[in-house]
Amino acid sequence: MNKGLIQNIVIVVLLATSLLLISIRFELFVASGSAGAVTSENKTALRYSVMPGSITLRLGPENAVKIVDKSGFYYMEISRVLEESIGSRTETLPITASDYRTKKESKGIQLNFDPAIDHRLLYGSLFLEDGSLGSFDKIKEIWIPQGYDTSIYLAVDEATYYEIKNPKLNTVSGFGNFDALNNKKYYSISERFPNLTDNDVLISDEARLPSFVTQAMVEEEDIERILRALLGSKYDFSGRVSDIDGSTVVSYDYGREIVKITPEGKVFYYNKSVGLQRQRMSFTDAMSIATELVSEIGSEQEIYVIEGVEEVQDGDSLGYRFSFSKRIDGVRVSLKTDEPVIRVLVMNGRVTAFEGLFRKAVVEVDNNLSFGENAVLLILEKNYDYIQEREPFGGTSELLDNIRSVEYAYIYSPEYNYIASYRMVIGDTTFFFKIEDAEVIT
Amino acid sequence: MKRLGLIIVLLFATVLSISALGFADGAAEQYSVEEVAEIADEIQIDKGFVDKPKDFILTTVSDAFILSGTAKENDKLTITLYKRVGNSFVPMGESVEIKIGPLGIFTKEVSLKDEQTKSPKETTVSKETFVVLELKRGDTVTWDYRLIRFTDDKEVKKSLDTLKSSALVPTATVK
Repeated sequence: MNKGLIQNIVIVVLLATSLLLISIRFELFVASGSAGAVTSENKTALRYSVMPGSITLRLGPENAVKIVDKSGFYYMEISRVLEESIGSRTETLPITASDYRTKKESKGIQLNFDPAIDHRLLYGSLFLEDGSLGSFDKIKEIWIPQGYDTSIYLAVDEATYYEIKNPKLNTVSGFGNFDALNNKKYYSISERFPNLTDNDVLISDEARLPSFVTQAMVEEEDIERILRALLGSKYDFSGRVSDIDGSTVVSYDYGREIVKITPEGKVFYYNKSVGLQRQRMSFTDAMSIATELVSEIGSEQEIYVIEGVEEVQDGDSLGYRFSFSKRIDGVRVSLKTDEPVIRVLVMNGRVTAFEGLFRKAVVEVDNNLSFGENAVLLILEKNYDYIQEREPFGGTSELLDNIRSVEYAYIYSPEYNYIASYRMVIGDTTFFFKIEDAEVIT
Repeated sequence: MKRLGLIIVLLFATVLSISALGFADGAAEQYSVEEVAEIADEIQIDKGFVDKPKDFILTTVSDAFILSGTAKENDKLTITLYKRVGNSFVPMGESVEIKIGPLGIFTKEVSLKDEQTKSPKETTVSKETFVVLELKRGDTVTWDYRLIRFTDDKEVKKSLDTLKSSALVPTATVK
């Protein structure tokens, strides 16, 4: 064979190999899946990524039930109607608080988002084009009439309400049967004390929610699932060490990508190389990437919901930091500071940074319901002075007026177990009270 | 001297009978329909301590109703239910006592279900229930009352059908 030809072949092979190695080193070719395009596979995950804190069926005056949406099934039915109705929106009109209240006297479904949800997240989860519903950022409540009213109504804050006009009826299939699900009846505070307040926040007499003992997801199969979700096939080429505190630390490419999993189930990930290549990324793509990662890290039965998003600018690159909270049987889990425990930073079509706490419920603990009846009232009375100190009120009427939200919640104990609680927003302060004994969680 | 003694005895008897009259308003063993009607005539709703139900008579299709009102911290409230049997209202279940907390309010979901037998547990819904609320503040006792009428929603539908068939309620014509 010609000596020159052999030399040329060697040069071409060396060039191709070096190009391949450089592309792997700097991740020049990003697979479409990791770039976060919304595919049919992750569409369902995206739809589940935003959920209200509670769903209330109002069947007329003094007839309201809250749905226990353990698996998210009911919200999925409702979200399809939302997708069609918001998708065919013709205009957004401001309405008064009084009009909004009147609309809620008919039959309908009320979705409460607490903390209020960024409207882009709602759009993204419903696969609608990136766009704006109106001149506001967050939504705290959605009212979906179940009659001949084709509009959908939004409560943005205490004094701002909108009507989203659309030509389609918002009929949710099976609505008529939802109330037959043996859900607990709720009453608005004003229905209870008509002479003291006109507050329409719903409360129930009964407090029935178990607590859970949890354990960290640090079994070998959990660790491997988490590492593969974060590093993909690069995990096979990574170095793994055990830290002195029992943490598992995995490093790829001389520390350009690092994962740390602590014995408590805290997961930290940092990727330094992502900033090297710019890549266009829509809001929905970023949301899809974050959602997919969190659902891969968590176990299959668990639901993680995006609660917030912040824009992050790094040079020319625009990224999004998403915060997620877990739902146990439809109930939100958070720290006692009300913060969610998972944060994902997505830039240039990739996850740049990640932190989260991953634990699973192992033992259910029934709460002693010694004060079960009139739970909300008893909690307010037991913690009267504590509330008065932090959110001063003139009298009972003012206190009842200032209750913005009352919902079940799970709070991480210092040992990271799930404590069944009531989350109450009074004025501008969020309080947590244990269901077991009505004590405030500080 | 005898006359003075008689005056003292009569005075004592008068005081006793006035006190007895004062307590006669309280929770009784049972009430006749006439007594309840008399209370309905005399009750001054806006001077009572019950805020809900707002009116003396509440007609409901639900087997429970909400009772709420305002009082003062450390007041003691006793709620007693009486179901109608013939021309009388007789006690239904045990009385419930509530100690009023610092908010000075009370609320309770009251069931109209009347337990007939314990094992097997059988209940019926009381069609007419007289509610007596006794509020103790120190040595002072005040009362408030409500009458709850339960109407089966099937009966309401039946009545509406009767009205429709008698053409009193116009019905839509479908072509």
